[in-house]
Amino acid sequence: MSDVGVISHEYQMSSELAKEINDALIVIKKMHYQLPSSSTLSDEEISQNRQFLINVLRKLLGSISTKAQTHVHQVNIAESSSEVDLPGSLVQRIRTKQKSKLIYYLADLRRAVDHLEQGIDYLTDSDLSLLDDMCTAIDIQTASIFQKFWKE
Amino acid sequence: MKQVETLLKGLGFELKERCLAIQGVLDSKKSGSEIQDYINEIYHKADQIRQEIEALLGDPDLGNIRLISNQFFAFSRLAERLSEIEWYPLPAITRYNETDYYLGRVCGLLARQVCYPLQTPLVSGFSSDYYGAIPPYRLIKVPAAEHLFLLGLPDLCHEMGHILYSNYKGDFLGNFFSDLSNYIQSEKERRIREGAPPNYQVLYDRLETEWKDRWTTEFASDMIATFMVGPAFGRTHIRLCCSLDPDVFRPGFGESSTHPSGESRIRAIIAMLKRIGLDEDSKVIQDQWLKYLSAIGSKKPMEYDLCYPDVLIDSLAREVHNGCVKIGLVSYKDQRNSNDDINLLVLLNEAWTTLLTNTLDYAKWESEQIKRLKENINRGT
Repeated sequence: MSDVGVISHEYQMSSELAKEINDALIVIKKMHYQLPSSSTLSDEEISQNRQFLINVLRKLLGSISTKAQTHVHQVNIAESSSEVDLPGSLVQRIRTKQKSKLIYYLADLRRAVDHLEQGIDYLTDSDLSLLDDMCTAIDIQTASIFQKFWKE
Repeated sequence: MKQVETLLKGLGFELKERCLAIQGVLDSKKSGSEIQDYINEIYHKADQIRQEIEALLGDPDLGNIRLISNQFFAFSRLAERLSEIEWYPLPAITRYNETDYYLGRVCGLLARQVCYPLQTPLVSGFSSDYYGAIPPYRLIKVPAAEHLFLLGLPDLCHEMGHILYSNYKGDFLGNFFSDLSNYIQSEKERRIREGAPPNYQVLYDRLETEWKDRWTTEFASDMIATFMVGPAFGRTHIRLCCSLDPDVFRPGFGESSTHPSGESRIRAIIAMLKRIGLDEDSKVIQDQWLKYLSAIGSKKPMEYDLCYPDVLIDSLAREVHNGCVKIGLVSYKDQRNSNDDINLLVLLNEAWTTLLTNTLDYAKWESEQIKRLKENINRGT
């Protein structure tokens, strides 16, 4: 039986989210670093993208902390309430990568959410680095799913 | 950094040229084609990619050190999307022939009779790996000789199910993912209480990912197909297991695959048959399945039942059934009162009954039915 239907659906979910996260991060970075094209961005565009990233981070926080609580670590983090749907494999990938320092990673995520909520100017280099890492993780995840189309 | 910027620019220009070339091929196939609307749809998808490439190349901040990684990521997504078009819909369009026309009409008849709420998919007889769907391009590929037979056609309903699931995921899932998370959580807690090794926690995380990212799609497509074509889909699934996928208890606990096990899929089909009120048919399918298992002597691996508990299969069947009703699909049970000259859903079930009750005459009966079906389709042209 063909795997293409499942792969196609999995890829679609992952690639749409990867594109949305990447596009949003480009807008945020353009504003934060005051790059030449930032003057063409509307307030609405900036606000929507900032809110989208907040939702993604909250969802990630909720997903990882739920799993973390079942392990020995007890982490006190609020549940996610956002509409963003994160693929299970992305959560698993990030969790595995951060396994040895999970409590600190969750605290960093929480801090990045707080800063984004306060405004783009409040973002620190480490917040942006965390966002870049998340963007890289979903890019790798998406590319690896896409490879299943031609490495079947 | 300048070198990297030049690389990105060069790759972007090359991708744009490739996009224009694909649009050129599509354009050349448009005139007078049976599938002109489909070609236009794919042309516009390619044009959307072209516009996004131009936007990327025209960004005043292209190559900026702060953004270069994100710009490469954006380029990758565009290259992937264009490759999808080149690998799937484009060959289906360029090879479109009489067989594809017939298969498309068969799919159109199914779509009309089940009140399929989307545009009819393009069906192409070029598959090298059984049936398959590429939902974003409403494309279904089937093996090259399928137009000569009836017994595999219920799998067309499964592929239509993939496209429906992709378009109405929320309607089909309902609260299922919440039930899934609760199950995984309760299992993990049980293992901790029982003092199981910590590695089990990771296995449950993986199990949740398999269900969430892959298996739910496959189960839901099976259930949608069962809603549409009833017991014939169960029989076609048993046929698939007997002929191409006899390792019916794989994947088991801790294993990974795009598809859940053949055994769990039969339970999903039976759960949906019960939901649509076909209890007797569900018993017949279950009985035939158990006899098959007994004949091949297949045994469940250790901890297999943890992967596919009935509680999850029943929960998903409930949600998918609600989704089918919500989007207005007609169930197989309601097809049996159809006044159509040929009701394809009824015919596919009759085909299975005839094969199993009158095996020696089946081939003759089937070729007569296909002839009648072709005449019916040609009359409707």
